[in-house]
This record gives sequence, C-alpha cells and structure tokens, in this order.
Amino acid sequence: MVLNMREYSNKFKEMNINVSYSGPMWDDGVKGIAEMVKTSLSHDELSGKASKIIFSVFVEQVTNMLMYSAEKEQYGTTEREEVSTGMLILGNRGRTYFIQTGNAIKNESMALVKGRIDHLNSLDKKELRQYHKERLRGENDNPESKGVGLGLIEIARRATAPIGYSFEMIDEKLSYFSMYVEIAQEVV
Amino acid sequence: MTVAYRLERERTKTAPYVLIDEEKSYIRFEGESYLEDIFSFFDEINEWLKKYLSSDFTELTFDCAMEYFNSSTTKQIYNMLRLMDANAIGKKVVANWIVADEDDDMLIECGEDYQEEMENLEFNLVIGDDD
Repeated sequence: MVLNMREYSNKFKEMNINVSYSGPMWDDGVKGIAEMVKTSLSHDELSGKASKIIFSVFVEQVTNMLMYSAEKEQYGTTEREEVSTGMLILGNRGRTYFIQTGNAIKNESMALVKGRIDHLNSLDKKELRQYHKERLRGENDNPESKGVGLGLIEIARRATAPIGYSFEMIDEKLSYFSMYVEIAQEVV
Repeated sequence: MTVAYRLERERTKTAPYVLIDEEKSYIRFEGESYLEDIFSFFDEINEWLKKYLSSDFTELTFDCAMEYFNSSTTKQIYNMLRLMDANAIGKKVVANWIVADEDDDMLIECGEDYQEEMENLEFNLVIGDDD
C-alpha cells in the first residue's frame, strides 16, 4: 500500500502539527527530536519563558513515555537492545500549544497512571507546588519510576488545562495510552 | 599527601558544564540538563562530595547557574544540597542559586523551594545577575 503522503501532510498542516515522530525512541534520536522542538519553538513568536515551559513539558512527556512504554522493539543480533516505541506530536492552535504522546503500556500500569493523573488534575497550581515539594523530599516509593513521579507533577504544574488522556485496550496484556497537554501562552 | 581532586566537564546540549575544584572548595554547574543518564552523571560528583564532606573540611561553595533542567535533575540537585546541608554545621557551606533571567519563574520557584528545605547551609538566591 502506498500512503498518500500529501493527504497525510495536509492533515498535519490543518491540525497545525509542527513536529511529529512515530517509531523507536533511541537516546540519540530523542535528543535529536528535542533539538528540533527547541529550534521549532525558537522560530515561533514566543517569550523565552513560554518556550522554556513548552520545552520542559515536552521533555517530561517524552521521558514519561520512555519509562512506561511497554512496547519495546528489539534490535541487534548479538546483544539484544530494547527500545521503547511511541508517537509524539507538537502543535499549536494560535497561541495555545499542545503536546500529545501515544504509547502502549501494560494493563497493570493503567490504574497507577490514571490515578496519578486524576490526582494531579484535582490540584491547583499552589497545591501542585506543595505536592512537588513533598515528593522531592520523600523517598522513591515506586521502584519502576526513577523520578519519583516528579515528571508528571512538572507537566501538571506547567499545563494550563487539565491533562487529557485515554486508554484503549489492545489485548489482555497491553493498552494504548494517549496523553494530551496544553499550554496557553496567555496563562504562563 | 593527596592531590586535590579536580573535575572539569565541558557543557553539551543536554549536560551542564561541571567544575569541581577541591583546592578552592568550589563546585559550579552551568547550562542545561535533560534526557541524559543523569544517574551515572551524578554518581561521580556524589562520590567525591561524600568523601569531601566527611573529611575535616572548613568550607564549600556551590554555584549553581543552570538554565534549564528536567525533573530527574531536580531530584539529583536536591539530594546534593541535602547532603551538603546535613554536613554544614560549624562549617562555611554556601549554595548560590544563580538565575540570569528575572522572569524565569520556573528556576526561581525551584530555588525558593530548595531554600526552604535547607537548615544549616547558607542558600542565596541570586536573580538577574549574570555573575
């Protein structure tokens, strides 16, 4: 099947998607995408503060995806190297930027992720700062999470609307997790 | 006689400039830190720090002039500061949180939050000064 690239490209243009990636997330590749996002933001009319906030959310979302993605592709013949796979987009509707990520996660992680996001969405900015401080002080209670969940708190602190998300069951082991974060320049 | 430890690491796009100068009792961070294997990065720094803080040192200055860092780095810097703070009684331990852009609420708030957690060391917020 030949993908109609023009249609695809137009669709992205219509949705004002500036950067997109889908596939394996190697360290170097992720750094390259980050660099591209930085450059893309530097070409927009953004204050230094706003572009830093958007970049920060992007970094934490990608990190989150690398940590939770359960869909790992294996590369290499002698040494099997596992790489997370996922999809990400950065776009804007006028002065509101959005970052969306998608990746498979284990069904058993679903409740944890959902619970964390719901909790963060229920807190206001002041409470989020306080919660961040508490988590910073506390010991790591989740061995799977290297950042004691600080990344997700950082996202919630910078987002200007509640974090959007959805889970779609793939099979008995995996679900597809999408996360949507918005940053309105007027608010930051 | 032991030779004073010295570590100087060039800044990259995703890792900060690091200077540890034991002779001058001085640590400096400068730049950005994200998407790096931050744990091995800080391991070497912490290894020296622990050794230094358990010696009969008299002073230590930490200039932290970061521009941007991710959440795992936030935790690592916090751990460093806590370690310094716990060993600062009766010593001159100073941490300078240097923020070049006075509009940078992210960095300023982070500095304020660190400052609140410190009990023994001198924590200075240096804002709008390029040092």
